[in-house]
Amino acid sequence: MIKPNNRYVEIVNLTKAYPNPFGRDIEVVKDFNMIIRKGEIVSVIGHSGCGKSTVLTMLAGLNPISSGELAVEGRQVSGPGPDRAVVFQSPCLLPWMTSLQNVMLGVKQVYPHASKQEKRQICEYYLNLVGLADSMNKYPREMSGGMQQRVGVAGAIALKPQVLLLDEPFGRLDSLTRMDLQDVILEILDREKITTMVITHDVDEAIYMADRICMMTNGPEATVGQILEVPFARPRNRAQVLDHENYYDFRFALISFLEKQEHSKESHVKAIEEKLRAPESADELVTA
Amino acid sequence: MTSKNVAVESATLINYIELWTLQRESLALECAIALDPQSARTIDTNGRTLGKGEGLAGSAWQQENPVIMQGASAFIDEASTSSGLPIKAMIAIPVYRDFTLLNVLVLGLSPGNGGLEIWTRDDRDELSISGSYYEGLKAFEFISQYVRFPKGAGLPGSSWKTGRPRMIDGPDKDPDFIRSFDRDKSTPTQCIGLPISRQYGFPASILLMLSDEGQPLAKLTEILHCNPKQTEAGEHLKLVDTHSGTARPWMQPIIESMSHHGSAMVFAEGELVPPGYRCGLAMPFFADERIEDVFVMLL
Repeated sequence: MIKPNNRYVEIVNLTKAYPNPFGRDIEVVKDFNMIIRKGEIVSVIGHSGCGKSTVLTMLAGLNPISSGELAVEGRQVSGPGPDRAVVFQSPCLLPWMTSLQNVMLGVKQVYPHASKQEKRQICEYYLNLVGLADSMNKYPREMSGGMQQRVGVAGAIALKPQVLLLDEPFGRLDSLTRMDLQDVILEILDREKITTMVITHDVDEAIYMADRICMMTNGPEATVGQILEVPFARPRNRAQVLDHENYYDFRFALISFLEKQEHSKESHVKAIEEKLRAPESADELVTA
Repeated sequence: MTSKNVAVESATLINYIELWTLQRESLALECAIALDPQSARTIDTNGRTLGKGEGLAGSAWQQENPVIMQGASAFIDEASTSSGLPIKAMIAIPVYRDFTLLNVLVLGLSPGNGGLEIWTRDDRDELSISGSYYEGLKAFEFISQYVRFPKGAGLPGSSWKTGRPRMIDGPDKDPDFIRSFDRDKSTPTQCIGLPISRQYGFPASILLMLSDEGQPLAKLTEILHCNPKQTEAGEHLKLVDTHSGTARPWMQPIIESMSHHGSAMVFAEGELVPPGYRCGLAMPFFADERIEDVFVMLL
């Protein structure tokens, strides 16, 4: 019997198509399949523009799906909700509010029956978790990009989401701040056991953070190329992971996949263009 | 892309073949062939039979999946002794028509670079490796144990999705073959994906066979695509396409014979073996009880 926790997030034949005035609809993501277990961290890696964020925004309910199925804990995703919190690449903070007030925005929605004091304690707890105990009353303009991103992470986790969706959350940070925030997030995820999807194009970040890495093929018609299980134990220690005798085997597998995608980009786009020009009744391309 | 469908003079990775046929409650050894460098030698079968779970062929019958044997094994020793050839690994491949077992094909592999992988569906609806044999592919072997393919992804996922055999020539360059051989001494030049059985509309497992140019699996490998509807009125099976895109004179007699037999065939003599080859084998793949594809190896 299949345990529900083994299929916590189900993505089945997920497709996103946009209308094309000159022919068939353009399918940017096609037949994307992935099952995520409860508490698992999955990295989605692929070239820029391949459709990684499209998958994430569909799972967040921010972008309607064209076909396929999306479910969290057996419930179909039909729109955004506090059960799926998102952290984007750019911190989305209201500039006229302090970090605590920004986190409070979501907390008020999710804990409507909590007292004012309880809500404040929740905000303080999560801001403290991300290392901002001393910056709760600071405005975004008074904080660095890394600190603002920490506020975004605190705001997302304070919602107690079933699924945390991170869309290149470290993309705009310098490497030291990035590593620091990766460790902060991993520590929280180890503690809270939140099922997480991280979009990235950094292979080291993908290996360090994830239990599984989903490698996406190039778009249009982007899909799962292959999935790599990362066997490193949790909680992770960066030095130990980097020193692992097989670290570079995993790194090489990811890089060679991305290189192969890059080399086949031209022929892939050409094949899709031919298909888009073909009449509707023509046989579909066989993709592997 | 260079097609590997040309006769090659080098030794083949497959050097031993057994064909077992289901007869009532047991498997009967129909033929056993040892492949010497220049000729195919038929080995006396002595009316051997196997029950379910017995021997390598009986294990494949019981498990409803291919079974790979390597290293110290009584089956390998027995085949090596009877054939007088060095056999490094063996694989038993069950051949089905929908849920019905027809044959078990047993292949022996000589020492040489290559690989066998059995990809089986797990509880996430992904394919993961459940059995394997590799030679000269150490890094590929390591990383493959951590790779999973959802339906439609990679060669295994593509064969799983379509339920049809597929062959990739030059997998290191082919964008559809997405694992890399770059860190290994050997670079396979051919990879064959064979769906095994059709349960609930999809194969239970996918068998992948990898070989390099120095020692290919067979002198010639080909997938013949047939029009299954042509067998409806008892007509002979007709060839509609091939993997290489080229129809050759030897193909039609094989699929006509396949149409008559309706099961796996091994042929060591007669008109089915084209000049320059020692023997051949053919495996049918069914769609709705009709033959849709035939995988052929000429050795």
